[in-house]
Amino acid sequence: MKPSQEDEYRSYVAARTTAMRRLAYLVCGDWHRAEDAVQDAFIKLYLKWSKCTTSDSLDSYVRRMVVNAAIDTQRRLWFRKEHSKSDPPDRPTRPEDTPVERVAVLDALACLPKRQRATLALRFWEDQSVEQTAKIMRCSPATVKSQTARGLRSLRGMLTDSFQERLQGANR
Amino acid sequence: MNDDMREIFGKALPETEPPVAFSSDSLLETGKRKRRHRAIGAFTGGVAVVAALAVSLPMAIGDGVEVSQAAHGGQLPELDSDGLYGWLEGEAEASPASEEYGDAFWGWLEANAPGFEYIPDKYLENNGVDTSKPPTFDRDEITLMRYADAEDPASESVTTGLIRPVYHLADSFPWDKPNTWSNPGPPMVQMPGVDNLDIFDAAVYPAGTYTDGTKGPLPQAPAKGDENFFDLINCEGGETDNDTSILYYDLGIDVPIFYDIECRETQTADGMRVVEVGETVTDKAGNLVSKANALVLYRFDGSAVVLRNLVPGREGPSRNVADMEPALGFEELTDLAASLPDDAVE
Repeated sequence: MKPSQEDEYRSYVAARTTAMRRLAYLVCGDWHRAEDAVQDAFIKLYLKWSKCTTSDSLDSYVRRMVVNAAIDTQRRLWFRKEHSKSDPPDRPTRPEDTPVERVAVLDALACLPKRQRATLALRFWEDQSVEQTAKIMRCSPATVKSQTARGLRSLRGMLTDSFQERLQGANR
Repeated sequence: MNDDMREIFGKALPETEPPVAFSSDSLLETGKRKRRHRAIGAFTGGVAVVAALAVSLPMAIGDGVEVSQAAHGGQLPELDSDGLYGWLEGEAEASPASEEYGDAFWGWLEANAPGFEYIPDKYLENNGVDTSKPPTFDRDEITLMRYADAEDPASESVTTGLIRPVYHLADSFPWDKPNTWSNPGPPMVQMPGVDNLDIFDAAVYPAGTYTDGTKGPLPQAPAKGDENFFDLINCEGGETDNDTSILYYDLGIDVPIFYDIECRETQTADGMRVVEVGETVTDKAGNLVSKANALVLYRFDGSAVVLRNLVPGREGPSRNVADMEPALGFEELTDLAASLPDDAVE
């Protein structure tokens, strides 16, 4: 890679690290895994940089890699399985001083299937359209719509109850 | 609605985020190392996705998908050898065959391993799923896609128009049926008289969804190329793949693992071809991480049954499962595969 391309790559990484890491975190709920997902995506991006810089959809390409890595349970499936007998999966421990409101949201998100959660994060956090989300998630727009509807319904139901209970508990 | 949801996601983020552990310099260094490694691998004949496709699939045809009678199992479409393809998963759901396959699978276990216990994933229980019964086989429709960049499975892909059904044993799911090989995955079973858990993968592929080579990945197993291979089983031996280090995400440890794979071909009494694979995974220090017995039963009608019985370790990469073996040996797995319904997959 030419020095000028390396500079462009550095600039892109610097500009997008925070946003991509937040997206990965919202999908997987764990900072370590989120960081690994983003790091993995950026390394792959480096290997493709000369082609990618001409692409109009560079962010979409990186989003896809990040989301794939963040929801990729396939490769580590049996490790998740072995833990799941004693502990609910994908619920990393949190500091005790985590605000109660945030805990409620994190718990609700953790109850969503990861693909559903990723769909919601892309649609509403990243402001991706149904079509853009479908491309990133490698599914049909109809699937995005159904995943979104189910996710919203579930999330709303979980937050309505738990939010109030937790807030009331915290105020006592 | 959009603002409401954005606010909810915003609340999930902490006020102070942990510092970023990598830098653009470290990414560049790793990227350069991987590029060198890749170049060396290509020069010395390392396995590459496109190369594998070129070997395992018939030669190119231009636009569209044409049907060939070439491969065992028949009717795998002829694909452009310069292209990169993969199956796009659909929405898995129950079908009339689901119960039938499920009953046959669990019925075999009841008859041959009485007292076994299905162990539902906590995730399902947490989400209110009825886990009193073990899962059945979902039916998924997979679509053959072609990637825009033949060297990049993350590039855009377009459908070739070929859609095929696949049956797959997977835990039930509350709101949506996730597809073939993603969350929540294959069921866990506590076999009688055994301390550890056994995990069972089972899938049935119709003709036209696979090649009959032996260089592809096992379903569920990490392997080079992943969905970009069309073989059903992996018989490459002693392979090392540093990319699989992400296996240890959950454990917070980033290390390579090593595969030792033994493969042999045999056949059933009535002449159906069987490929058996014994898979042992170790970590860098040589500790055993997991063991699995797997096989493919190639049925006379061109469909194929893939079964895999995996024994996971207990405590991470330093674990040692030397004293643990998959509950089912190859003879039993073959018998189980043959006991599944032989109706056409449709």
